Amino acid sequence: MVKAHILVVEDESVVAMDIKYRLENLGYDVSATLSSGESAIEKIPEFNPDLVLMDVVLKGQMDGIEAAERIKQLFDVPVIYLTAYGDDKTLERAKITEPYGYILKPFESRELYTTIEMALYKSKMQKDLKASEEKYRRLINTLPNIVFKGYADWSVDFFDDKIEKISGYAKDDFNSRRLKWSDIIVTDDLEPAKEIFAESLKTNKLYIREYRIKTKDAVIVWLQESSQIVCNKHGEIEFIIGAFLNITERKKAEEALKEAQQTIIYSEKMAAVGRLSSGIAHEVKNPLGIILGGVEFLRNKLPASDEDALSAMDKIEKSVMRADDVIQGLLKFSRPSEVRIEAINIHELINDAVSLLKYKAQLNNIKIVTSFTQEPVSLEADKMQIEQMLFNLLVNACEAVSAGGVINITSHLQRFPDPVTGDLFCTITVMDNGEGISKENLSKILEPFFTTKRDKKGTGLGLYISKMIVDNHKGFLDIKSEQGKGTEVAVSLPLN
Amino acid sequence: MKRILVIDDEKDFCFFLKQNLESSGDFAVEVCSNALEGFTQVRKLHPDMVLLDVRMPGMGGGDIATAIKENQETKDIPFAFITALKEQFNLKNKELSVSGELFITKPVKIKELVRIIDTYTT
Repeated sequence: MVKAHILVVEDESVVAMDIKYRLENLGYDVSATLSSGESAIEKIPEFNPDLVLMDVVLKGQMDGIEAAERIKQLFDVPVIYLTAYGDDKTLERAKITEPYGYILKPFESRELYTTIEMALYKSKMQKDLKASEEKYRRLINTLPNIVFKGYADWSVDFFDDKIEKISGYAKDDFNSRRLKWSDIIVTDDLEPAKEIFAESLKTNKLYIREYRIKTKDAVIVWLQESSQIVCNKHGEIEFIIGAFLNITERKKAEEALKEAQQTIIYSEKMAAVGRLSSGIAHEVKNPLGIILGGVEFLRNKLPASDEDALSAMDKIEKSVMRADDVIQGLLKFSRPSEVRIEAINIHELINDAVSLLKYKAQLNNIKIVTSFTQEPVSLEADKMQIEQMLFNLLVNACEAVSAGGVINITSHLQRFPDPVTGDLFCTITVMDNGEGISKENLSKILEPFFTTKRDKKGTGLGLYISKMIVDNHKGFLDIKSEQGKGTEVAVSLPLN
Repeated sequence: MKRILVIDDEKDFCFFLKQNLESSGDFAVEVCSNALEGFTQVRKLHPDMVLLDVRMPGMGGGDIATAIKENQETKDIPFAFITALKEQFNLKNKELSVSGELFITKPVKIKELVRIIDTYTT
């Protein structure tokens, strides 16, 4: 066991010698014996003692009680008084310096030993407690979450200043009850938040709710609150302990993803309508041509006096033209927008698609890893179409892998059809370690309207359109898959 | 009297087209429902104008048009496509394709057709 170091402050040198001798006999190390409070304060940093034995009456300006007070403020070293004065006044003064013991002279070695041991133990416990408190304080400070303690009337206490960064309001605005938490929640979100709270109160008293707050600068911030309601034995709410997390970025990403998906579903639907309507148009416009020709033929055959029959011809003709208008409208409505070829940075577009899906992937614990060729890739293409194609491939990969899955996206340059003399292509490969595609499905996967994701609102057009886009750019799309192992989709686009 | 050759496999359409054009008294119409035979007729009849369907079994209207343009005897004969879907040709102009070909979409009124024929035959 390590010897405890003790500093003795005693102005009677004989007494000091006696104490030193006794302490050493008890197994302690005496750092020094000093005769004044001033010298004790000066020497403590040098000796770094575990404990100070302090006489009350000392030489010099400062008495022992004053010295102990200073030591407590400056060094956090436990002090035990060792004195012949046991009167109430001295005791009262000594008490407020929170000493670890008070030994009256004359004393027994045994008494000295127990008091020192108790003091050392108590001091260690307090230091541990302080360290532990410090550890948790630091933890709370490093967490992105803002810990709070709330009450049934929406008043709330914060423990650090992080709330100011998010809300613009200082900790004290809430802790002093100037503001209640409900004051800054966006009005529309308050009722749903209350409902979640009420529901949780009936069940396990744990809840997670998301809502918007309005900051001091009138900015809208999304928060996620995870809390626990603590009730007393009568079932009344005592307090709520929980944490806020700023999820604005996540919400924005979710919105962007939703929007992108809707745009793509819309353009997929439009492409489907386009395919369908140009097919219908051809089949309908031909017979319309015949009917119109027939009407004009019959009109020429009819005598001018047969007004009823001529008026019937007019009506048929009008109906033919009306049907034609409908089809023209359908064609105009569904015609794909013009292809716009421009120089694109394919890696940037891949990163954009990845960032759109980042939060969704994180939520499902899916890792997306990209590794691009270092060689220059100069591609000219329709940016929107390529974006749509990349997004489709990534969404498919995300939907194919389960939690913990990995999606690898790589790019490399290669020549086709001959690896030496062929044309240069950039091949983008999206590889997942998901469920894979059965052989039967693999043969149908590029067909329009083929989907295994009807329940997830799949249109069955994502890959079909991706293939069309790749075709439009004179590239090719290759899919390899093994059930249970994963799928690899490779898109090769010709360089300029 | 203008002589018009119609090459279209839609026989009923051709029948009415012939009847309606001829009833005006200004046109003589020959009809052919097969592309290959159609081109032979172009060379034989040397009509004032040829009306071509785009989609036909075997050779299409586009092929006949190319043949007409490339043949010394026929290269000056004006022709027009008469089709249900001009979209197949990515048209910008209502009637003219990018390369200047004339397009007429079905259904077409006889008056409109006559106007177009008159414009392109002198």
